[in-house]
Amino acid sequence: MQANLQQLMDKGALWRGGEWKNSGQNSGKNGEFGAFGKAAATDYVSTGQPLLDQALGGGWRCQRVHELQCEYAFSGELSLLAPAVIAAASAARPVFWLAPPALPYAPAIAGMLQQAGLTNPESAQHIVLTPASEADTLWAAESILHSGQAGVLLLWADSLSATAVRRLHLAAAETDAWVFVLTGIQNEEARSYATRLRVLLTPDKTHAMAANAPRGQVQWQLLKRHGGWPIRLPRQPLPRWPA
Amino acid sequence: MWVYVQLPSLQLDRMLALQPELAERALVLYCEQQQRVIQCNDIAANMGIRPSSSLSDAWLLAEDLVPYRYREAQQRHLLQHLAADLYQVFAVISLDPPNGLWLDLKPMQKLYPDIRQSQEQLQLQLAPWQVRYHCGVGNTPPVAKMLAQSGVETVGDIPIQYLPCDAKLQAQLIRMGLNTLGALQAIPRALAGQRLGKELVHLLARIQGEQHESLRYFQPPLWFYQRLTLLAETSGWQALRFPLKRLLQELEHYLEGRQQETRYLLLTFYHRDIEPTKLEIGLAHGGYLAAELAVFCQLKMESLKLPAAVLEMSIQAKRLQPRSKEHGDLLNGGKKQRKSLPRLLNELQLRLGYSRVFGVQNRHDWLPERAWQRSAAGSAIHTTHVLGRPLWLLPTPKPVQIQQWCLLRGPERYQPPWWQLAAGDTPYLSAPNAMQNCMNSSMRRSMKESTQEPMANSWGEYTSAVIQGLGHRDYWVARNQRGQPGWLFYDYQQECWWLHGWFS
Repeated sequence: MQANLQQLMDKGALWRGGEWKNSGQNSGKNGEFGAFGKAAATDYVSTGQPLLDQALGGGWRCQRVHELQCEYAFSGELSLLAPAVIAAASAARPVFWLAPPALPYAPAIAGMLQQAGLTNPESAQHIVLTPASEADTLWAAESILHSGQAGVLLLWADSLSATAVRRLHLAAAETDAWVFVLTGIQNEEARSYATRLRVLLTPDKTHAMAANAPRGQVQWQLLKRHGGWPIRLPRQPLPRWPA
Repeated sequence: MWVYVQLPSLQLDRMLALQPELAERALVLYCEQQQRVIQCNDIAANMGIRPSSSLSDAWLLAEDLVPYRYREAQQRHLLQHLAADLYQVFAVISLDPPNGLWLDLKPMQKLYPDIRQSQEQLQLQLAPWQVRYHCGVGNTPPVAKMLAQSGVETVGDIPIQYLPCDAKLQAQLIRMGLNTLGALQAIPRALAGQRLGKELVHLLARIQGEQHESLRYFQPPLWFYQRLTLLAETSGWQALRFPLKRLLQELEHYLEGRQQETRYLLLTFYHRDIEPTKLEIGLAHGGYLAAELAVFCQLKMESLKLPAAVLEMSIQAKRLQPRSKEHGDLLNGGKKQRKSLPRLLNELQLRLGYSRVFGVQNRHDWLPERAWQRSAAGSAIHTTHVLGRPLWLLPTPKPVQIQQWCLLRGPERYQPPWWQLAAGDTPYLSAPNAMQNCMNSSMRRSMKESTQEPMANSWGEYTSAVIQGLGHRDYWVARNQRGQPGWLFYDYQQECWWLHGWFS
């Protein structure tokens, strides 16, 4: 493939026939997904970021395992999942936090749900699991998915083997949960994730208020996505948990 | 009106019910001390073995005899258990260990006006137990018992040897030619008393119902207990699964009858010489289905190693509670839910450990680490009134170099309220684990003193705490060199900066 063509496709500027088949009549205009079928609309939940939504063809898809590779923890990855958490709460289904890197702070979660104007914020259940070993974590993830109870499953792991991901993928396929695996930067060896998103932290030195503490910027790099080539999105200000 | 239920081979019948494989051979339960048969099955009885014949005789009569030890405690348990089951149908029950129990029909007369109805109920209730029993109906408890034991139709025909008195008096009566109760009752009471003593008069009065019977009435127990002897010694969990399943089915039947669920199971595995292995299963959410409980047991069993072969096992269920309703939405999906949430949480907690699965909840407190709390997993999160809190809270604050941070918004001052200082609550306010390392020794000493001092000195303590700036913090939103927004605080007492959370 020619280099300029690749460049155009990376920018998302090129419209391709194959995409049309996969994602309805998505015209590719900014933030317009009105042509999505009704059934498809319920399967997707927004990331809260129009650019990323567009690149992902509508957002995170349920029944799939999505991988978020973060160079550094706490670099705005959770705010991309906030709409999924809201969707789980409005469906009165629990959110599982499996082996999180710190404590999910209850006031912030509740604050986010209140701000989202949820009609029944009392139905949001958040369950934190801190298993002692990675084997236990994977076992727990599978049991949670097999039970069909989960609304959102967030799983933190250093690195998962191909078989572990495959098992998660199979378990996720038979629920209607959103499953996210949050890890560090992984190599590009094939794994059965539906989406592989790399979150890169790039300090914005140009607009620095103070030289030693620049404004945060992230760059999302999609290593794998549904119905599209890998793409590197333009830099964005670091998203914060909406609370 | 009283009914006496005589259960001549309760323990043996229950063994057969739980282990049907035993039915094909001559089975006896013997008393270890006297080496005598206590209970035997039909096959053994057909070979001529009778209760109270000696064990050596039994061996002579039956070659493939299967002898088991008779356990008095277990017999008592079984009788209790049976009474608990009958309690659903009959209100007044009195136990007569080891082999029988009385039922008073009088309080149940409104429900079952005819005595036949009572008997039908009794039959229905006892049918799942698969035990042999004889019934006797009489006006007084002793008469009912004698009728059940002797198996005769009328009171007058009861042979004298079933009279509840000592052997000497019985021999005396027989020598006098009084072979039945009818013959004894025909003699004037005063005359019999003169010849045979006061004891007989009392006995006759009891039989006639002239004297009040002092019976202890049965109260249903607060837990379930069942013990099972294994057919063969086993040392692996796999082989224990099947007997366990039967025990759990019994438990389910028991709980079903009460519409209860259990939150605590104790499995005990008995070995030959060493202490029994105990396996405790605490459940956060009650369960009652045998299949469900079996999964919980298996999860727990996998993590335990048996030190020796198992001969017997028992199960005890406590913390029985009324069943909680499971809310299911009929209209809205639910088709993909294969396991209820409480059951899932139980399984997770059993495998991972109880403290490793929890819910998070808001709490009305200004101190950030106390503004949340662990709650039972599965409880819904409440609304909050504090805004602008970070998503992530570090379990213990991390010391930071303030030069690497840029303060953006603040300060938000936290000052511990006087009552917390006065109440000696100080260790909570300051000194998370990591902090103690950087405190100098004198400060640590003062901290220690302040926690140990009694309430009387609390005002002085409070003022000194204010001077020290104990627990005073200024919270800031700040950004680090990579641009990540964090939640910092400055601790006045220790005069240093801590990272407490992340906003992103």
